[in-house]
Amino acid sequence: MAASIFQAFRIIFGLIIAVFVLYFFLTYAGVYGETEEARIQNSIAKNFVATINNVYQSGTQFSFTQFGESPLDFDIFLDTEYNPPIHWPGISLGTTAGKVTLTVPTLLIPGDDVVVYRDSVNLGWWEFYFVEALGNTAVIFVPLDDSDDAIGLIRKIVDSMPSTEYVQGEAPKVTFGLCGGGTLYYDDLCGGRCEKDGFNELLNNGIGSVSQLFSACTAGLPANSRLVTVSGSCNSEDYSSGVCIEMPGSSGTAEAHIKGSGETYLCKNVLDLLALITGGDEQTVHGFRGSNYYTYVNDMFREQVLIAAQMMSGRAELLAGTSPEYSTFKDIMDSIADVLSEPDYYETHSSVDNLLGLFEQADDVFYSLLSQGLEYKEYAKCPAEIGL
Amino acid sequence: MPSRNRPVKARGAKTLSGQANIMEYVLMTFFIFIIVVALIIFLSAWQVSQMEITSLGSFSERAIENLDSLKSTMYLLKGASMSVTSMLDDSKLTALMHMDNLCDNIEKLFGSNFYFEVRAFEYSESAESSDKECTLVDYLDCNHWSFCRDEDRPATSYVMPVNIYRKTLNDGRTDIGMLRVGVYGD
Amino acid sequence: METKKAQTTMVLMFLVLIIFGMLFLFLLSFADTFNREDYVEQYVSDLLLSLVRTDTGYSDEFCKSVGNAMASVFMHPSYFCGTENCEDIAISRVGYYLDRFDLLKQNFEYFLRVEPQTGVFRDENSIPIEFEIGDEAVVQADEKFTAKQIISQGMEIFEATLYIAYRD
Repeated sequence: MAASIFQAFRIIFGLIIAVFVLYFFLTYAGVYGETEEARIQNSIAKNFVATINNVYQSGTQFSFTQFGESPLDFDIFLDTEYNPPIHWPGISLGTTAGKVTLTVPTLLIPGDDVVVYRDSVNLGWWEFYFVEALGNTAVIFVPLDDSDDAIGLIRKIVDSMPSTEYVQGEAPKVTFGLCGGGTLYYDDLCGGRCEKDGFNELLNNGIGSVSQLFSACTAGLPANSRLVTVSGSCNSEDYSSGVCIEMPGSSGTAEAHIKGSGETYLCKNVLDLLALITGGDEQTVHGFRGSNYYTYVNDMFREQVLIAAQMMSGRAELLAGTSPEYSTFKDIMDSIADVLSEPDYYETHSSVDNLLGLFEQADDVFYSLLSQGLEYKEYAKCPAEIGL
Repeated sequence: MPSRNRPVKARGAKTLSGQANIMEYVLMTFFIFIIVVALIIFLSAWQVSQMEITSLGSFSERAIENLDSLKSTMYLLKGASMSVTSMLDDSKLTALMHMDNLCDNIEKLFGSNFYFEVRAFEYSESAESSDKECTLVDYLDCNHWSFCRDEDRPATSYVMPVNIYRKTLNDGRTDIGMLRVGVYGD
Repeated sequence: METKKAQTTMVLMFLVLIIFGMLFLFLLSFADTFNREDYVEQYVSDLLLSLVRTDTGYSDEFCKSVGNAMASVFMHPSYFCGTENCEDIAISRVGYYLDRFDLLKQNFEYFLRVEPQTGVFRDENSIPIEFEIGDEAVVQADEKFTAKQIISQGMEIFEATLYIAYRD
């Protein structure tokens, strides 16, 4: 009898202890799970920043696929104000462990798989590099006229985006299509979906014969798409979503609009156009994402090219003894620095036209110095194409 | 007659033995409990310290990152391309060094709380070479460029070999030198 | 009684093992995340690259850079730039410049070898030409760092290999 009571006691006691131990393990697992998740997120974010920096420095395109491995979402914070050391202008990825900021100019369309690609704005004496990190994206063009200018503008945009023909697997893919009226030309446009090379070939062969084009797009759009309407003048009824771009005049500047926003955006290079297109018409707490990206790239451009111009001005002064053209070059650099000292340099026609004119002059002088053997072959992308 | 040598067990001894049994179990489970709690505490502390180390980064890592950025940045490189790395341009170094708001600009471009310097080595028959800071006047004859160096602050520094292109009147000369990056520790 | 003793001993042993194990992991977590080996590898690679591109002071195409001088040891063994021949120029510059880098000078022994990527170059006595500087024992060291650099001169391609190993 006593033995069985004792046994019963042992069993009960054992059960009580087991429950206690289990409780503590479960509590710990919860805490451990959270810290582990935070570590994974932090690790993915750091790997992404490293990938962006590598592509920025090397220019080698890369597909980043780790976002699909984490079940968590990333937030995009865009700090367009520069207040060191607290804020860096740029896109930040918000994770449980904090924010990770991309410090090189980056245009991001999030996705599970992201293709990372580098392009640049070439000024001859300087090159402003930037990175595009794009998830699966379909860029649908709506040319509202058949002019060479319109096709030329579309081609410039396509050329500045990555080629994903050789990416193995389903993603990430950057595809292109056309739309006119109620007809979407996308799934079968190049015997399948068009990627960069296929679409360029299509443009070269001419799209004039594609029926239904050259009218505002009313068709349903594929997922993850960006609608880009190209027209002589953008009226609100000309485009249902996305961005509308008016063709550039002789100044090389194009005016662009975002659907739903009353603002006009001056685009002096392909970077400005890409910022509006990749940002799109999605509304955020800070305003339209396209507008945020536009402000961001112009701020980064201003900061970097301003310092570059000041440095090249000082350099030209050092080298003035070798050629009088260096003095001319110095004056132009000082003028460029003056224009870029204004934070809102990109918002008025007079300022932007002035800047483009100065870039042209600087490129001409620098090309002359290069031709005389006074500058280095590492500048060999001179002469540059300034403006759109 | 039964032997009286058999040890006498008092009637209460049986209960005492039972209680001692229970006590042993209690003590053992208590010890196991202590072990489990200790395990949990140690694992948590380890996790936290790992997180701290990962998020803080070490000074060394930061210095190496800056070295990588600086030896491939157009602000220092010969030309306007980032493809030929570690070939610095002496006219750019000199112009940058004498810019207004140098340290603010360096911070904007590369981050805060660090300095860097470049030293070029010139081949000489004599063993020692002199250290000559570059000014705007004599930048062809000098061999030392310093950016935001504060001698009074402690720093962790790392060095990488680089080339410096010295632009002469009609041509150029490629020197070898070193790029040092120091991250301030305070 | 024996069982109880055994159980208690097991518990105690387990406790001690856990404590030591946790202490070890705890201390390990403070180990620096910085990998010095990666830094030295990059250092050696950049050192060789920079060395090969450095000018010697001569404007003659056969010995303008240290790399040119090294290649000319094979291609133009009897050529003189000024008063020095290419081999002397290469040896003196390599020795001088490698001596300027404190990390190398204070901590490592080095060995530099240049050889044609294909084929053999021979001197006037048909003896294969070699170009090596430093302590050859470094190549046999267990822990060493290696960097390679291509030198091209005309149609010929040479490979420079720099080995460094910790000084004893």
